Amino acid sequence: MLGELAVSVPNERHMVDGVPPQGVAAPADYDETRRLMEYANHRGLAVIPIGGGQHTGVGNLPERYDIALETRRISGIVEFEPADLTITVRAGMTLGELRKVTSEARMMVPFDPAIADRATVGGVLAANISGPARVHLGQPRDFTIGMRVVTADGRLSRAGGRVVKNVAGYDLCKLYIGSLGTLAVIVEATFKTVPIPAKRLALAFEFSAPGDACSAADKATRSGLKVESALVSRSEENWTLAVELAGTPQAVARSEFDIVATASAAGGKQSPPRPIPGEKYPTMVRLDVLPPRLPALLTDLSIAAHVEAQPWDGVCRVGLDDPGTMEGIRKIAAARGATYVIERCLPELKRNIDVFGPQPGGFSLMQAIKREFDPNGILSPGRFVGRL
Amino acid sequence: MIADLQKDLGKQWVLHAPEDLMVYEYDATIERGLPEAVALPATTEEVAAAVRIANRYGAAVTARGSGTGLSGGAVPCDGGIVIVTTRMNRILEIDPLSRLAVVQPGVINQHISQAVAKHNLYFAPDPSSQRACSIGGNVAENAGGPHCLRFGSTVNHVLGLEIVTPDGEIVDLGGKSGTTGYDLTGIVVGSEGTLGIVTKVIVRLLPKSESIVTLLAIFDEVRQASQAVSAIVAAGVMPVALEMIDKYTMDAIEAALHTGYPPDAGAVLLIEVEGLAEETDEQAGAARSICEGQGAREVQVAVAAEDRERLWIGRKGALGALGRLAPSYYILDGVVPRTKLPDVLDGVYASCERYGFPVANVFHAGDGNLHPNVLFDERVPGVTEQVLELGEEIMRLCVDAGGSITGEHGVGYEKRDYMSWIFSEDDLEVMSRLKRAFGTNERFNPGKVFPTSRGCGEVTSRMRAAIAKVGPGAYV
Repeated sequence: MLGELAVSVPNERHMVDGVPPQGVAAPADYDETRRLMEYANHRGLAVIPIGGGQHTGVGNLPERYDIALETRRISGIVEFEPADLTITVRAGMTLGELRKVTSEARMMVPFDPAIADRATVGGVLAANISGPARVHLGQPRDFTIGMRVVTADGRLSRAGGRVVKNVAGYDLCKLYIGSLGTLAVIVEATFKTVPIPAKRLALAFEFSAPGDACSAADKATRSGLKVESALVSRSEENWTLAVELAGTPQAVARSEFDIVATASAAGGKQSPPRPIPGEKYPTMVRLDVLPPRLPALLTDLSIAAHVEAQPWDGVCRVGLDDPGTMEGIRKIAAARGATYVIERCLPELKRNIDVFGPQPGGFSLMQAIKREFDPNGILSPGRFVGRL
Repeated sequence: MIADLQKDLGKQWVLHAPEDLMVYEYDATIERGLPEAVALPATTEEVAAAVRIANRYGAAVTARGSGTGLSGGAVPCDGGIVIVTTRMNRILEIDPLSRLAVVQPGVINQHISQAVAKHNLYFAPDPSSQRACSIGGNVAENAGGPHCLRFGSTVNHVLGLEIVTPDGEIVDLGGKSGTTGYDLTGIVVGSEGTLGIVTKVIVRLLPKSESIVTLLAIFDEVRQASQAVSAIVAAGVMPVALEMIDKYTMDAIEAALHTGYPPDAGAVLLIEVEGLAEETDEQAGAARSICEGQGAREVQVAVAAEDRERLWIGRKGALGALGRLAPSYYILDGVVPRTKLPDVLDGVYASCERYGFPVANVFHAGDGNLHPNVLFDERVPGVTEQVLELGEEIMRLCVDAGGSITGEHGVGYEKRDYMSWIFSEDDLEVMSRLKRAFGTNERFNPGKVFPTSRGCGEVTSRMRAAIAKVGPGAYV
């Protein structure tokens, strides 16, 4: 029905919260993507873009799902001039491929190193994924300077540009980032690049109280030590502060010296760094709170199987074995002034709830934007905040 | 309409006499756009009331902060009401542990950093006009400044906003922590007052760095300096500011401010590095060798605060100093990829020479953000049109090099007809969807950002927006 567009039968990786599409299309380039969207818009077929499948669990249950739009063929570098500190790539490119290309020039796009290589550029932008390195590297909105998207009605359109300072027109990049495939299909993005640090050093410290771990992290970051990422997590009876230092050898050496002293003064004991097992829990919930309130929140979260937090940003992730504890976590969040968003859980638990929580300020503006950008409601219907 | 405004805001806060209105008819440019009334609200509710009154009478609404803008954004294009935020100038909350502050839109940019300095924090966006410009205006234009090279523009330092929409509704966007949904904060920042009026800003604060070192690298030729810029950026040295000042500008600065710039150099680079002492030592050393490698005849290093301050006063006072050299100037705001900087800069000088106008280049070289200032006398017949043509040629150079028409001053109505140089019909159509979503009111800051068939004053007057009468209060 779609002519020369590659169409195939769906398999496991196209499922979104257990819902399969009717068919899969894998456009080869921007033009095929446009034609697919024109067709889908005309027929009222619901389209969900699928990248590396790493973050497909984010969002509400899809209301309808007709076509999985595989982005993997829309890949490759469009432009890379290392001396400009920018790179433009097609959205189906994986982070692994991107990292390989940029590292050859000793550069990197500041995506969090913790994000899997299999994730695609488009997917990470659509889901706005960041992690413990946000403290130093920022979030996608900070280093994305331009994009091209295909709109619901099949227009190829540009947001931003290819230069690092640009205030011409509305910054639609900010709109598309984090929009979870509900406003347009991202096909291309331009990023700022930064040099790969000359040296990285992982350190870990054990504390008996989360407040001590958080205050050591805060002091180290506030005083300008080369903390690229900082994560506080609960391990057995202790609280571990895992830090990654990055910079020139002298700056890292100075930072190591200072952070060891700071941690020790806060009652911490140095320990060998080890991996944090956050990803294996079937239910992950994210709590955001102002940093000073984080220690009290962490103390309250003893019922959770796994707790980790980014102390500088006040982002806390809770892994649960037993979904029955979700309600308890939600109450704790409310009591501590934290927001509560379900990052992933079994599809049956998503029924009749909004994983994002209460509607945010400006929600009627968001509804108006959705109506303007996708009047037929064909792009990832129902998946976003407020079931948009 | 004026009576309704007076009822809601108080008689003394609504201006309508011609001599009062004239003060508000221009920003840092002299384009004339006379409003019918000027309202000075004290609260968000009064702003909302003023917008609703304007809507009731079909009057245009234009927001205004300190009026230091460089693209005509605060100039009323179509009469109506100018809503001025200068009375809303309080810092409402400072949370040093969470590193944020909540401020009203009329708060002066620099006052934010001054207020939080005792917590060893500061607000990073530092437009050269920061002693005068308002945070509300910074938000509207997504203001930059020298330090946005490393730290980003205003949009990277705003966590949330309270706005009054074109329909007169008060809406909260974003927030201090944990916001969900579309990034409306990120959309409104830089929307140049066309999507709403900002009535509250939640700003992000950064910790001050342990060590700051400022270098002044002196070159015989502009080309050497611009190549040094590209080399510094390409080498991965990450200064927090990298500014270029050419001879023409330095002569003016020295005559006016006596800051110690060398009298016979072709160009200087002002380079600032920040971080741990170990880092600044290394980065300053690297920047210095690169400059020397590109032919710098001298590299001065300032570590003490007073010495660094002195170097910056010269840079920040540059535009005011240019006033000694000519009665009028036209400031451009093009951006190009860094590797294209040397060629484009050569092109700028060549174009200006061909047209026969002196040009003073003082700008954010590290981001490729150029500010050629073309000096002339607008009283001489025919000269203004030539300058505008020259400006268009320079902007064309930037766009052809893969750049943009505006790095930080905004589109306003000065550059709205150039939007089609960088955006297609489809691109502009998609942007217009956003405008519709925020409110169907076509009277909200009309004539700004987007090309329209409706004129704004005379045919050439749209271009006159960026032509300024120079004075001590001018900034670039």
